[in-house]
Amino acid sequence: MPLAPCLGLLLAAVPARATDLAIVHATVLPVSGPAIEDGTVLVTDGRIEAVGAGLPVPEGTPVVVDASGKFLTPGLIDLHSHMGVYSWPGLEAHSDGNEMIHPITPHVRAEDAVRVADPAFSRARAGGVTSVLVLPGSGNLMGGQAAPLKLRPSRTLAGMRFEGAPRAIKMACGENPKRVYKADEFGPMTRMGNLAWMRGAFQSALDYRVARQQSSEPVAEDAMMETLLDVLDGEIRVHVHCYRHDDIEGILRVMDEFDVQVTAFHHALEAYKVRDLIAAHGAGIATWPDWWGFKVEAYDAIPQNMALVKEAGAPVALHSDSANTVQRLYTEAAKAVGYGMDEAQALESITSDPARLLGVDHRVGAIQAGYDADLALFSKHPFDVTTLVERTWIDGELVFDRSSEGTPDAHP
Amino acid sequence: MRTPESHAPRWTRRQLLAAAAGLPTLSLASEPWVGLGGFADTAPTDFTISNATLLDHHGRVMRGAGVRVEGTRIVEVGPQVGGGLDFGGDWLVPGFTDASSRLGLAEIGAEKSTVDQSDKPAITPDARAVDGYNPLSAPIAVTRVAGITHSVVCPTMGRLVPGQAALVRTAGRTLDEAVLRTPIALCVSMARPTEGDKSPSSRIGTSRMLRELIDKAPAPRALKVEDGPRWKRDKSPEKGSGSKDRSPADKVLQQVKERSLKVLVRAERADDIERALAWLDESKLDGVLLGCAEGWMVADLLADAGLPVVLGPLMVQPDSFAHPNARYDNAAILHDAGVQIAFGSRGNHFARGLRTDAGVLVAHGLPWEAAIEALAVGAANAFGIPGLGRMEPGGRASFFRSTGDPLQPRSRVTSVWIGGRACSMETRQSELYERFKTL
Repeated sequence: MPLAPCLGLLLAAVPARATDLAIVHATVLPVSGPAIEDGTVLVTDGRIEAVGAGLPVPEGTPVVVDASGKFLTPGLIDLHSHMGVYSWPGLEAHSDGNEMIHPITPHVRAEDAVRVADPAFSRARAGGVTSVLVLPGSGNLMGGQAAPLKLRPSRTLAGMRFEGAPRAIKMACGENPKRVYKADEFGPMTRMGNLAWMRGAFQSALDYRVARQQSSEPVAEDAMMETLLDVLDGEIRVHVHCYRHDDIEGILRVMDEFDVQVTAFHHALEAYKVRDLIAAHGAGIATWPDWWGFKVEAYDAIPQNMALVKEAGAPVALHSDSANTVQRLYTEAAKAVGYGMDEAQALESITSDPARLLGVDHRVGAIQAGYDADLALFSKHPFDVTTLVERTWIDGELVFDRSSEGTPDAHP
Repeated sequence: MRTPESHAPRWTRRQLLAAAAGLPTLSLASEPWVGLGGFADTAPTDFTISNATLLDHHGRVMRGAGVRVEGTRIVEVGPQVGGGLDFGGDWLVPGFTDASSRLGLAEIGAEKSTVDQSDKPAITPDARAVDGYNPLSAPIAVTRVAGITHSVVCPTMGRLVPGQAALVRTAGRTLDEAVLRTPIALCVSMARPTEGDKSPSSRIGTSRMLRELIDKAPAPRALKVEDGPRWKRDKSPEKGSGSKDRSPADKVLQQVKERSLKVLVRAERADDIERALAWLDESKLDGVLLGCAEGWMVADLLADAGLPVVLGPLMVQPDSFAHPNARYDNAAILHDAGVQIAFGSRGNHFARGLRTDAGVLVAHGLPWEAAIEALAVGAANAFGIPGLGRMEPGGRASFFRSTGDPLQPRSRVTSVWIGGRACSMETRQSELYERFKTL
């Protein structure tokens, strides 16, 4: 067992008792602070016990990983995933993300559709991803509740839940919802309809509450209305699929009317045009570094979007929205650097910023004492395109090891 | 944040005078079309670049080197070239060619009114991508400033025989200025092409209809030049060899049977690749394979056939039954087996990601030099375009300046030249950035 010389400042109390796992000699990119050369990370009971330069490893630690020349980051976090609800292989039968029977379906839950055996999960783990928010699609204005997951290898959905993560809901505006219901009797078929429907839904929930409280006749409990009331009461985080800047402004108008806090605008390709409004509301964005042009509301995207919004003071999560891209969030973040973003901020966009928007930034998204031991070990700097994730840990458990598995394939 | 390095375009004398006078440059010009299409120079000029980290088309790096350009061609390369534009150690990289794209065929993917990617029927050998190509489409500039100087534009590959691909420069105001060669190949899809009228309904139908297509096409004619390099053989056959009565579709198919026009065959699953190779072989056609997500499973067959393969760099996902065994090291395995590879984005707005997508494959075992070679000359080799992408005397003067290794996403492309002409680095996106960098 390598005994690192105890040099420099100890950043945390070193435990006398044995830890479960020690990663030594790594260049640690803790996100919560500057890079640590010759860094040691000690893990006990699924939590990070200590992190620092050259910390001694307590005797009896059963697993000591020599990470000389390698880079250790917090496990990466994707705030916008459809893994499980659009499982591989892509088939009609696996299309479970859009309950497009009605534009308002806040009561449906993504976790009820997640195919736990989706092989994409293992590929995401091989990309150092440890937490994701699985969202319903954007066909509906209120598409349903999202599922915060930890990507533990599991036979059960319960085994993948991110316990303690706040509830979240997916909403949408713009082109998608107005297209889906265009032919229906009640629409929406325009942006006017989109926002009118949203206002109507919130108002119905308020009316329902009054009716439940005041009506002499019993009013049956309604899952849709109860969910909306939880949104209005701030118990569910609101994530809104929204591209165009005036759609962002419009959503803020509606949400302000009902005193609802938006947590994040997703995709948000024109966020840069109203970044002041987003920051003032206290919202963040989840976006790609350089996707554009696939539809009209994506035509004005610019690759400096992430940097400009971050500069305005809003958290910026780099999301994948793709079971392919999720495997290389670090390369996507490197693209953001190429387009002018600060390196530290780009790293935050795949760790601490999505953690904050997910409401779990006190537990994940950084390497610091007390945090969940969700970690990714890279062969080279994560922003080097030729890097590979060699190992991934979730809650201190090794969930991916390239030396034994290689890149996972689709076989069971 | 950093601001993107701005490129000073070479303006016309009239524009310079207008700028010096503080007047709008384009509106004052009596020739307002000058400068459209991304060429900053109105014509090729002679110039020299020195003190560069020079990358050649084999992936060899030469520090402190330069190039001398006369007109459209490179005339000298090496450390002895001095003077001219001092790169200060920045990289000088051969222009990359996207070996299969939909560039310029759609302004906005989801808006049908802006999409000109194919005609309706499933089989249209006489449909030409160039007839849908808009050289001023916004994605072209966005692609150019990422170092992609040329692109093989294909009609949508969802159809059985979508038509003819063209090789274009990613700059040019007019079609004449933009299009380097058309047709460069006839596109065919060996899979389950379900798009288009009268499309086959299964793989069985695909193979049946492709065999029938070739059987019914006119027999090959005697060619004027039977030997020699491909580009010489591309000359038209002798006059009077009976082509007058042929339909445009038959004429194209006849060229294909004469092997004067290549067939770009899309196939992803291993058995589709095997079927494509068999069809090309029994029909005696000159083929290039496209896709080959499961190529690694039949790498020996591809190597034996000696046909080049255009890979979608990130078509490495086992995400459907169309290629359930796709994997990241596909390119590395094919390269090791001796298969000649090129990279095709198969995209339009996303085509700019090609260089970094290729970089990802280096992480998975493809030699860095092989990735560079595939990007620089993979398409030229596959389709037989002399001088394209070659950083050597006689090569076309198409290259770009990069702040570092061009496969690395953190490297920035700061200047681009195509055919000896400096290009503008302005795009719709840079204009939006300038407009909104302060609110």
